This record gives sequence, C-alpha cells and structure tokens, in this order.
Amino acid sequence: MEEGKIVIKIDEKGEITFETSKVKGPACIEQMKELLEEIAFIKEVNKTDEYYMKDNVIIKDNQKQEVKK
Amino acid sequence: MSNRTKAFILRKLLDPVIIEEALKKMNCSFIKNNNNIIINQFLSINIKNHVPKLIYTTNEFSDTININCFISDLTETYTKILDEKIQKLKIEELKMKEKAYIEKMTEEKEKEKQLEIERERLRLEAIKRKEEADLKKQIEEKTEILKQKAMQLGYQISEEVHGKEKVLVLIRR
Repeated sequence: MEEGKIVIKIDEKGEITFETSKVKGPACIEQMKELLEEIAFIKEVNKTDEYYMKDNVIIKDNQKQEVKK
Repeated sequence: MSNRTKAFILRKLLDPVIIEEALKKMNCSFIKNNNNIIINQFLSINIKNHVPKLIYTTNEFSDTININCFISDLTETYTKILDEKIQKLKIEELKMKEKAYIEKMTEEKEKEKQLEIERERLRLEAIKRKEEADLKKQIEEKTEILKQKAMQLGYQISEEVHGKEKVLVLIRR
C-alpha cells in the first residue's frame, strides 16, 4: 500500500511543480521542503484538502473516500 | 601741360546673358533682333557662335556720353555681375559640399549605430545561450540530487520525459 506519492514536474525553464498525495497534514510540506532544500526556491504553496486531514484518515487510491479507523 | 587719363583695354564680354543683365542694370534699353542686341544706332552687339562682339562705328553714343565711357561702364557692370555669380555659385557649392559632408557623417554614424546595435544583440544572444546551457546543466544536476534524496527517504522513483518536461514519480510504500 502506498504511504505517499509525489509527482515532480520539471520543465525546461527550471520551473518545478511538486504535488504530493496520500501524505496528510504538515508532513507533506515538510517532505517537500526536505526534498527541495538546496535544490529549488519555493515560490508558492497551495494546500489541498489532504493537508487538513488528520493522520487517522486514509484515502484509497485517489477516490477521495474517507475511511475512519 | 599734364593730364590724368583713364583708359581701358577692351576686353571680350563672352556671356550674352550677363551682357543683357548688365544692360538692364544700367537701365539701358535694347532690342534683341536675331543674333543682335541693338542698343542704339551707334552700338550693337552681334552674337556669333555664342560669342558676343561689340559693333560700333563711331565714338558717339548719345548726346551726353561717349561710347568708350558706355563700354567701360558696361564692362564694369558685366564684370561685377560675373563676379557676383561666381561668388554665389562658390557659396552654393560650399553649402552643397557641407551638406554632403553632414549626410556622409550622418550615414557613417547611422552605420556605426547599426553595428553597435547588432554587436549588443549578438552579445545578449550569447549570454542567453550560455544561461540556457547553464540552466540545462543545473536541471540535470538538481534532478540527480533530488533523486538521491528521494531514494534516501525511501521513495521508489520512476522518471519520464513528456516533451520538454521531466516528470519524476516518487512512491513510498
């Protein structure tokens, strides 16, 4: 089972789009910062719904279905 | 007995147009008849092959003036007009030369400016090429570092290229 997925797109101009999924809460931001540290300058952060979810919420395969443990 | 004599050597007046202008300036009426400028019964000017020739038979000219005096005045007026025309043309010529010089200088300045613009464009294009090459290298290097970091954090990495875009998919299980 996936714990987290990150899609990083890098274009020819050096623009990076960093998208996390299945990583909930501030951890996704921390993960992003850790990965991009000394690599890129963060310009903008848009938090998705997942960011505001608590750890006990699991999202199954991007179906946006909430299952409470 | 002493005297003071003024005399002149008759000079040829070669330009018929200036002769006419001189006569007009002297307020002397004349008739143009074929190749002749007839001033009065005592003096006329015959123009043969574009060369005027004074024709007079006596020393008379009018009741008050001697023909020699008239010819002297005509010569003087003619010479003055000729000199004025030459002077005017000299000034005109100088103005033309000055204008041509300014135009040449302007043209050279324009050419120099054009070359300067071209040089600047080429310099900036070279900078852009260098910057783009550097960025490409940076992207490669940073991508490698990013992959290394992701691996250290326990991610599995797959890399794809979509057109000019590089896509890294990091999955942690």
